[in-house]
Amino acid sequence: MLPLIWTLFAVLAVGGFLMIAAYWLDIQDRPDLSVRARIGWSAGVVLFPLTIPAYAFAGGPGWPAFLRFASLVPAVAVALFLGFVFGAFG
Amino acid sequence: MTDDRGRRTGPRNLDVHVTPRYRLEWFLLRMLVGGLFDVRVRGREHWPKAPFQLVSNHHNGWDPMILIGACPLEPRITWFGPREADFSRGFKNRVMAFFGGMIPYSPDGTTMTSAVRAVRRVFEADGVLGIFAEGRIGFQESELLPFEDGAAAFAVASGVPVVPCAIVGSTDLWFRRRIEVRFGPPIETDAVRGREARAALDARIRRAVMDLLPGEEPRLPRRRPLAFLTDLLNGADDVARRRASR
Repeated sequence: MLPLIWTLFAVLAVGGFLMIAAYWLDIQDRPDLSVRARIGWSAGVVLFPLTIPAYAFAGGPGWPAFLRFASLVPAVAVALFLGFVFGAFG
Repeated sequence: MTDDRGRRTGPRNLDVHVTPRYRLEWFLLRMLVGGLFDVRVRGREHWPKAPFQLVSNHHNGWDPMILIGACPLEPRITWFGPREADFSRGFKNRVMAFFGGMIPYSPDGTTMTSAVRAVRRVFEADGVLGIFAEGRIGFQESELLPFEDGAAAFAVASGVPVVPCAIVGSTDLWFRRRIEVRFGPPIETDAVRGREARAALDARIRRAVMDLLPGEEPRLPRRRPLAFLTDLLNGADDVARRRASR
C-alpha cells in the first residue's frame, strides 16, 4: 500500500507545483483585479493549500470545472505529506 | 559546436525519420497541447503524399507544438528557420535541441549551403518541411506579416508541392481555447522556373494562407483562464512587440 501512496503523492506533488505556478501566473494576468487584490492573492501563495481553492471557487478567475477540481490537488498533496510525517500510513 | 546537442541541430546529423525520440516528442505534445487547448484540424485531406512543404502563419511560440500535436506521427515535420545559433543555452533551446527536427538558419551563422543540404535530406526521407514564412510572430489573427524572401524556394528547388496552412486562434491563448489548424489544397511547384514565376508562386502561397485566415479579429471573452499561456513561449522581444502593438 505504501508504494502506491508514495506514487500518488509524487504525481500530486508535481501537479501541485504546476497548480501553484498556474495560480500565481493567472493572478498576474488578471487586468480586472486591483493592485491591492493582486498583491493579496499573490502573497496568499504561502498558504497555497487554502488560497488556491479559495481563488478557484471564489476569486472570480472564471476557471472551468477541471481547473477548479485541480485546485484541490496541492491541498491533497500536502495532506499526504503530513500523513507521511506523522506516520499515518504505517 | 561539437557536443551532442550541437550535432543534433546540424544538417548532417539531423534526424529526418520518425525516431523513438520523435515519437516521444509527438506523444508528449499531443497530450500537452490536447489537454491545454481545444485543437481542431480542418483540411487534412488536402495533404499530398510526402514529401511536401508546409507554409504556415505564425502567431505564437506554441505554433510548432500545436502543429506537431495536431498532425499525424508520420510523415515527420522538420522545421526550418529557428534563428538561435547556440542551442545549448536556455531551457527552451535545450528542449528543442534534445528533440531535434529543426534546421536553424541565421544569415550570420549558418551557410545557406548547409541549410539546403539539410532540407534536401528531409525531402529525400519523404518528410515534411515546415516554414513560418513571416519569419517572426504577428499579432493580428486575420492578417499576415510580409513573407520573407524565398518562402517556397526549397519546394521549388526540390519540385515538391506546398501545402498552405493557417493556425487560427493562437494569438491569444487560454485554457481550453479553441484553435483551428487549417490546411489548404496543395500548390504544385515543379513547373516553376525563373525569378518571376517564383515571385508569382510566393504571392499565390501567401494568398492561399490568407484565404484560410478569418475575415476579422476574434472577440475575446472577458474571462480567459490561464491567459499567461499566451506569452509563455514567446521570446522577450515578441512580448515587447505585442505590448507595443496593443
